[in-house]
Amino acid sequence: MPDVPTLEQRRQQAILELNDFLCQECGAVRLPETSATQIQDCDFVARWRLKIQVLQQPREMNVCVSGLFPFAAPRFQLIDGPPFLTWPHVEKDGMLCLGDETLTVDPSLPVAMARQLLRELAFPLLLQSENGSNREDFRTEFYSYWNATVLVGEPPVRSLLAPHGPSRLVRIWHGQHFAVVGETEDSVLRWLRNLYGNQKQFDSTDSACLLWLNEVPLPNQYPERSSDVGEMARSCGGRPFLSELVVNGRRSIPVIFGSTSENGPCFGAMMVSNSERTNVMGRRVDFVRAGFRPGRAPQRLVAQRLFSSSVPVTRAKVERADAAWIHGRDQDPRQASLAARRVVIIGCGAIGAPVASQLAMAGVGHLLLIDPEILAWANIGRHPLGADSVGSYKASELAKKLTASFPHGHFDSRTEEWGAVLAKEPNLLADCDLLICATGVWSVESELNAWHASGQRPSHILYSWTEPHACAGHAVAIKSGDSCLQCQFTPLGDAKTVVTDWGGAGPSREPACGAVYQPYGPVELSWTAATASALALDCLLDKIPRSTHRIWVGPKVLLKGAGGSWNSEWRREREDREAGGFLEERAWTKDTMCPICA
Amino acid sequence: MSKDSKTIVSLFPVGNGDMTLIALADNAETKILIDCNIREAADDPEDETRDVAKDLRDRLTRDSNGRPYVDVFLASHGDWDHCRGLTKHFYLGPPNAYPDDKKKDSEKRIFIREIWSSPMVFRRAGKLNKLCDEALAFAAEAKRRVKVNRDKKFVGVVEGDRVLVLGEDEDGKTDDLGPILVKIDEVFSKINASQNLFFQARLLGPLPPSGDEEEEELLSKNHSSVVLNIALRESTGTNTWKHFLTGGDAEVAIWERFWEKYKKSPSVLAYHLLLSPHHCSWHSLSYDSWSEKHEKAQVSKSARSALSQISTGGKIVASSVPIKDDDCDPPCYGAKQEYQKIVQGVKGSFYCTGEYPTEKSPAPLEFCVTADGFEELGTKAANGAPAILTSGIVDAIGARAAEAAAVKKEGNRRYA
Repeated sequence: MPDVPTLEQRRQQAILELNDFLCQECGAVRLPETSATQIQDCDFVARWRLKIQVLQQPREMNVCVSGLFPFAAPRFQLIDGPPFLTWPHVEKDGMLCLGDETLTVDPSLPVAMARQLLRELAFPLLLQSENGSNREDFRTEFYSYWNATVLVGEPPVRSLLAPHGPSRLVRIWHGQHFAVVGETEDSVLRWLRNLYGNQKQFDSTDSACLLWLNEVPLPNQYPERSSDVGEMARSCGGRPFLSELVVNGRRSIPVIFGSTSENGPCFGAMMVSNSERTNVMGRRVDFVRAGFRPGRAPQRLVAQRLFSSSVPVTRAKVERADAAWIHGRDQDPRQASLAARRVVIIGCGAIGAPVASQLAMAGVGHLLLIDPEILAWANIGRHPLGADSVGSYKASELAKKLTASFPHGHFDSRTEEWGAVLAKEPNLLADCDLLICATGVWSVESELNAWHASGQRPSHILYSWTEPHACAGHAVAIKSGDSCLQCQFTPLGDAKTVVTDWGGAGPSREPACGAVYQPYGPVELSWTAATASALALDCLLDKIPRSTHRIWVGPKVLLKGAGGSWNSEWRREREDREAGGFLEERAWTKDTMCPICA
Repeated sequence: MSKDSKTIVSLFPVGNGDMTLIALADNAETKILIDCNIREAADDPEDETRDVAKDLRDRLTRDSNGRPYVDVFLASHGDWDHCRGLTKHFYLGPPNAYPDDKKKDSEKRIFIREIWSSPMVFRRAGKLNKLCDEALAFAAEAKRRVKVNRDKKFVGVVEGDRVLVLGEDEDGKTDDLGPILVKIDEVFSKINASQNLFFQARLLGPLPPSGDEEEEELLSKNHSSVVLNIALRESTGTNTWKHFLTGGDAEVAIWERFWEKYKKSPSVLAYHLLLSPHHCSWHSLSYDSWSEKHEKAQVSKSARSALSQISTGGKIVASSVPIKDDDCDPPCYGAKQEYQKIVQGVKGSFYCTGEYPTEKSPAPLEFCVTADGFEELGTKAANGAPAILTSGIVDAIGARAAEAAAVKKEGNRRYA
């Protein structure tokens, strides 16, 4: 074994090298180890003090290394900088934020690391801070600064709001630990019920105001008093909305503000407190309504008084929980389309259930799950549902789980055969944007195909199944008016394209009548589910103009391990198929002799 | 700005040309820029020429609108090498029409709160040659501002419209400009409409109109320039002022006249820091040609006397390309030798911006006003390490790591 230094030896050597550099080239002084204290939950094992002068102002700065050094970069701490929120990227304790989360360093070059950090990051940051050229960073990284001004323990506001203007009245629900704000009462209460169940406190909301500002505020523009809120509202034409919030008996007035930064929309929340004061007689009086009998003060006048006065404002964080943020953080251009799409999934088994989960995560707004089967213990090893759902219907349990996971979405279920659903609610199937059949059962698939071929909507039906041991998987999107499923199937439900060969071996059986199964696991199955989900998204986004077949071919080692071989006919089509491990796309061609669509 | 702030004079490596920034230690961080010479090569990121525009912008604070600004821009005279890059990097025009507020910081032109201009300098230069485009733009902007002042009767003039006229023009053309006119030998400390406690300047030149055609021609040929002896101090707690003498391209005849005028009160010309006139030109010291006569060229005793009123430990700076022992002028090797003799007598130092800190990689030369005079920023402590890390030192420290990148700022594009 070569003589490899221990982590501690590496660290000590790096600290020695850094010490020489800082003391000899930078004029630094090493601070006593007893003062290498904990800063922001980080234990620094060594620190040095530097004198710096970026422009006209001499200052002091610490270079600090943690126990992760040299695998993590040293940090820089400004000792005598201006008050917090004067300069961007300087934390409350003076630590410079140099993009540490994205920095990568070469641990074998601790001195070069320090040189580069000083020259390319720390000094430029201080320079831009001193000359004010990075002031806009307060806007582009608004949350970091606004949220730092929120008092610890202040309940956050969860937002379902559409992240754009104009200023408008919205609805808010107040709980003890958080508030929820949305465009309508229905959307707020539905979200709460989806997440927490039908509880009696989810019965009503209050009005609130969203001020949509032309520009993200700088820290010195963060409101402290009601008059600041009034000024903010005036700047964006939101004063009339504020006036509407001033109603008798209200304990506090919630005001949300938002704006669009270079990095996307951002929000903050404020609560304007009760305007009651204790007078010299020790009585509580509402000074903005002074001079009027109870309930008779003109609303407009009350609003004018309140938002011109110095009633304290409490700041709160806004946690966005709307679909655009959850599914792609506003950056996914597909979201607006996907959120409006309706998908029906027939079969919520080992393929249908993960496909449903993936589509929900991808932002598909409406899912209807159809499956008459009950979840058994043997299912949960390869199903998103677990032991707590055994004995319940797969479809309804999955819809319940997705509803709680994505309370902004719409998830419904039917625990019947698909034919029964078609008979009772034909529009549910006909009006959806995509129907997915993940049963692998020919009787269901062939009936669905005949229904689809007869000219019924939807425009696409997607079928998905795996071959034995999940060594290959198929997803076929049938475009309405093009070929049909039957075109590439035999009348008895055998696919014309088969990737694997298993000799005469049939499926495994449980010790019960008709209980056949394939003993594959969730990992190999996940490839087929992902193939089906990806094709489903392409269908929903109108990227599949003709019937299309995607085949996931597992690696050869999987096939051999399960005792199979490549189907010789399929293998012969192309030279490069032997190793497996790829995704293939081909047209699902029309059979001119097809008994269904020809 | 805290009470610890320093008054700093920065001289940028702009080749043969001038660009000097004075940053005062007052609360407003007042910035006075004397001349600019930002060559195209300096603006070209592919070229190795020092990016002096960035150096300058780095040192300028942003106003409440996010605009980089200088409180004062002074063009000592209208030659190219004193105003090159003006229209590209500075905004000239009415303040309410500033067009760059929506641009990125690096693309915003520098806003000039107050212009200091001498009509006599431009008039003399225009008699000899056609003024360059940048000088014409500067003169037009100065005229616009003077008109605004006249129209407003000098009341309520806002930043961006402000102007000081340095020296009287001929034929009484500036007689009605009392509130914005600084006359020769006047000591003034008003900057951007406020008295400044860290700054006083005595206007020495341009020499006033003589009425004599021959004399006027001589002054024109001697690069009539604004000449200021600027007194700076490190804090309001001291009454000790340190003097920076700057005189554009003024040549020998002008310095001779200064000596004749002030030889009985030479403290008027005393300095701790001198920007050697005309980029260390021989013609600021002599009527002879250096390339023809070399060591036999006669130095004007009067001109040399005017430029020799140096204080103990004083500094002289040539704002020029590196100075070689050849026939070049400016910068002239013979002039450098004369200035070196002057500083040697007071244990001072001579610098050339093109050679600082190295010829290969010149960087801004910066002096901090201290109780002892002008101290070069980044001087060493007893152990040889820098006493204080400045941008220049960090530049040099970081450059040693350039070949072995040890930090990747954008990460490695792997996620989980």
